Amino acid sequence: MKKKIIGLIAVILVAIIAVGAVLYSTGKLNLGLGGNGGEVNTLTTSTLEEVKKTAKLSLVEYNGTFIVPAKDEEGNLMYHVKYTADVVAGIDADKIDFKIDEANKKVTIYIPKTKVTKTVVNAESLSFIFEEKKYDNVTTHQNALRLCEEDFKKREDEYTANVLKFAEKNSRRAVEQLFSPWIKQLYANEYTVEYQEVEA
Amino acid sequence: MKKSVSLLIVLTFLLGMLSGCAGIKLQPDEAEIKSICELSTLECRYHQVAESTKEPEKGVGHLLDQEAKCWIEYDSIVTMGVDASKLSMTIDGDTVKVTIPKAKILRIDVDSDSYVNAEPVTSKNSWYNRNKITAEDVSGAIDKAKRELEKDANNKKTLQIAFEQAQQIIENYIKMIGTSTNTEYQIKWNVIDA
Repeated sequence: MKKKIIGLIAVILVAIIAVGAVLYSTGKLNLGLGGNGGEVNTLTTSTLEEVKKTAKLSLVEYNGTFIVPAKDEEGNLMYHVKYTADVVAGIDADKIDFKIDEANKKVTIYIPKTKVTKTVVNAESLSFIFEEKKYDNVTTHQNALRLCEEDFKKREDEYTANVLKFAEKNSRRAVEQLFSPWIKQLYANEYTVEYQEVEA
Repeated sequence: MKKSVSLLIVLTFLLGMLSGCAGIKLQPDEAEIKSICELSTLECRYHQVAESTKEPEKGVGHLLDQEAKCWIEYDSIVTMGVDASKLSMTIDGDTVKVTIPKAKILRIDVDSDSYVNAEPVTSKNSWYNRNKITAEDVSGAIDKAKRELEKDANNKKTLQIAFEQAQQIIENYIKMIGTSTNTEYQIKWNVIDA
């Protein structure tokens, strides 16, 4: 009789613990273990908005150095001038948007298109290789700067297109890392996450 | 007696499962933070000019020699970020201590096609000047430029941006795990050299 009672208690205990384990692992039971609560809140757009509000995605400066030849009116080479130009690009984090599709358990995060916000030729960056010493005079720097600005205008489309490829990759990676790790950890069994680029 | 021992084993096993679940699902996870660092790198394409300046040699035979300069344009891709292998995290109650290295250049890839096809610009040669730019000078210039790019980029704010971005993403991850489980984690940063 005593043995039977002990056996029964053991079975009940095991059953309670097994149910507890299932509830805990699904986040529905709070045991207060490890200093954290056990219940996982529902994923809402306001949770996602909270992340967006605190996101400070910096614009990144991508600089380049270029060489341009300077010729006189007769087409004779006077010098080569080297200059640097900065292109600043990134996304406006305020324009990140979300949709939670509860029916299909899908979270879509809309990333605004990466944009170039500034291009500038650095006047202090100019340096020269002169063909003849006579071309090195007081007006050279001014003329050369004008020439560099004209040269960069011609290169700008191609250069910024190249910069944008990297800026887009950097921005997308940053946005994905802001959302994916914790969504994956907390809601892996509930939601899939998709990122879409949209016009800013 | 045997049954009591069996029961103890079952209980220990189940409690082990419970604590395992807590570590994986409801607390900030060091492996996840390391993965964040690995994936939060910044990649920048630099269009640069490699330079070589060759001073004339000393001696009577080189009296007429002049300084020779050479410029050549090339492209490189620089990857910057935080070295995840140096990152660690400990949790003590509601306090999360993250040891994080400063951002550094993780890789520089020079696009060899870009300078193979580029026309080097050199200072004018004269018949009396024997100090001329050689093929070796050009390849030395690329090598030097790569080292300078590393030095230059190390001083750039892009590295600071890479660091702040990784830090912000980690902070957000810890905060969101906490928010979702009603725990307000305090993060203590221990920034170490890259």
